[in-house]
Amino acid sequence: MAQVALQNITMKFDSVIALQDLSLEIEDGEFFVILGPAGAGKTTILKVIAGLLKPTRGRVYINGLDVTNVPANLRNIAMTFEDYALYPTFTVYQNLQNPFGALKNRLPKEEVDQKIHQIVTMLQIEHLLHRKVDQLSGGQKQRVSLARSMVRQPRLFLFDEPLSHVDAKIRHSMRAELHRLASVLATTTIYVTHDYVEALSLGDRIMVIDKGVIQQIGTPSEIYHNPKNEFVAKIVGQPTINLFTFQVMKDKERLILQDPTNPQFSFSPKGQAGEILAKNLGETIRVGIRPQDIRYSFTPTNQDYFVSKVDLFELWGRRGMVLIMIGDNPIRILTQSDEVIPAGQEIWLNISEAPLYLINLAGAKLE
Amino acid sequence: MEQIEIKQRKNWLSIIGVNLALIVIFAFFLFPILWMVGMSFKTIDDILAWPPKFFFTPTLENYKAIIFSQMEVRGVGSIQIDFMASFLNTLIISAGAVLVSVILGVPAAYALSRFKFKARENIGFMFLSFRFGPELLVIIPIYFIFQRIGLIDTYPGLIWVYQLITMPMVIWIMRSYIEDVPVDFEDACVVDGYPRWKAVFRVLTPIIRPGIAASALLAFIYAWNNFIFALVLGSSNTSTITLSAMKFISAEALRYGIMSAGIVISFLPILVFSIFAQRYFVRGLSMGAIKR
Repeated sequence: MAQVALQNITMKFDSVIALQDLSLEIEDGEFFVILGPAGAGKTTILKVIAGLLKPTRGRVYINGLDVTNVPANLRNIAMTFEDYALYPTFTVYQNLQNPFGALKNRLPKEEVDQKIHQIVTMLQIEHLLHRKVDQLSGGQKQRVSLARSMVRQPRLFLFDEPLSHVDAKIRHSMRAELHRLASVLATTTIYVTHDYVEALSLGDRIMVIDKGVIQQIGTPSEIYHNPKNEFVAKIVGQPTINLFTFQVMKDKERLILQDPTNPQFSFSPKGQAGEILAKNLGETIRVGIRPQDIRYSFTPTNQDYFVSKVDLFELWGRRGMVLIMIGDNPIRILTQSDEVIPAGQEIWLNISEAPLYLINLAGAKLE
Repeated sequence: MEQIEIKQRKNWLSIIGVNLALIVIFAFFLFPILWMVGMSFKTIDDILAWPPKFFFTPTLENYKAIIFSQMEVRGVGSIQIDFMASFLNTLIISAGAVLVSVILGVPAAYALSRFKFKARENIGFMFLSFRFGPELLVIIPIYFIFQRIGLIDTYPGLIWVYQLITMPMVIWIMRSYIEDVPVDFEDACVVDGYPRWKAVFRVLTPIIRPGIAASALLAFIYAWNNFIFALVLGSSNTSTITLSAMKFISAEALRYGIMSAGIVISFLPILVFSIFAQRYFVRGLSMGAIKR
């Protein structure tokens, strides 16, 4: 049970700034996801919270207590590492037993055995107990490393990309399992990932981070539907959100978005964006449209649609991705069926009814 | 069919060719050693015979002389050279030097690879530079210092000065070895609840054991073969085998046979160690042997 607060954390490695003036608060029992690309500083945050790294500046609080100078072994936090860090010279059993060898965690042997038994049954790794670590597959190592962090009752779980090295099938079931475990144990969990699906499906709240700077903190729905900037809009969603540069124009009381480099590419938006667009009349802005929000047809329809040709099609199981080039602008569309669409097929598109993500040229959301 | 046969014959020929070449190369490099081993089983007359004798009746006289430290000198009687005592001396000094180097050098290597501190690279390089300097460069001042504090011709004195040979080796091999082990193992153990020093003993030490074995063995070989420190800073109490082997060259005779037997005995431990620890050795020296 723990509340975590970071206050103005800055972390420098020599001259490289890994984290810059980062402040955040995590509630007791919350499943908090940190989402960001490689090198964003995600692991550094975990290590600062765990006490493995001392921040260059700033304070770390757990349950309101300043623990910045408390060594990692006294913080009662469990952490899994991206490469598992299972002790290679130990068996699985010895790995799980290791936390109880520490003075402050000492328990009678029967109790230790019982706890280990409980956790291996839960994670279905009983049969692996007497194997050496190098005889395990990636998915098994994954489970053992989770088991090692869960075998004692820490006040905080830190998971560093726990599912990134397991294959897609296991990942799916492990994700569900993690979700269940987190709600059963009701322990505050901080979960680092670069996979937006994991973030959206697991997190109570998500923090998006890039280059050591917080981009946005919010619920999955806020992150997805209301991204604060271009970076956040781009990091969630597959295929990636379509982003265009448009000039806001007016044509007989109608607002028009016009590609300044390609006069053919323009449309009149019909959504709620009108007010914001009106404020930015004459400005050049960035417009984001999610690939599933674009309507399409293979037969000519009314005037809101414009015609183009399919450049590339990829079948993604029950859906597909269509790529269309309009001038230099690629447009990605997520299809609604598993119908195969041949390249060169004529396609009519309607983007005027799609919800628009409006962003200024500096990358921040337009309000 | 014919083509296959030709191919096979070619293969066969090339295998023979390669092996012949290898035998020639080995014979060339190993000949001095083989000849010495041969000499250790020959009488002095056989050794000095011309043309050299490749076939002779082997004798164990030389070994007897070495082991029971008795040697007949024709017409003069017998003199004593306690070769086995110097064998023991060498063992004590070399093993002691390696032990001290491992106990102090592995933690030093750990510090150099894991901690960031001022002048880290300079300190690391300083250790390495001990191997650059010729031993003669430092031996005179060391001699005077040792004379003053009474360390001449003592085990501790020689073990101390042998650190110049063994310590850099242990530190540099272990440093790169430890650098190749992800710090995550120790971090995980600290998170498990152990203080850092305990985590190192618990988790890191078993992983780097092959490296310790390899560096210790290498350091041992260099210590074993050292001549100049033992010559200047040691004397009768600590005479090492490299010195004792020299004593067979004396004014009244060159005892080739006994000298050969002595040398064979002195390189046997190294040979046995190397064969025994070969696997460790290869693994220890091919750094980065630890896969995550």
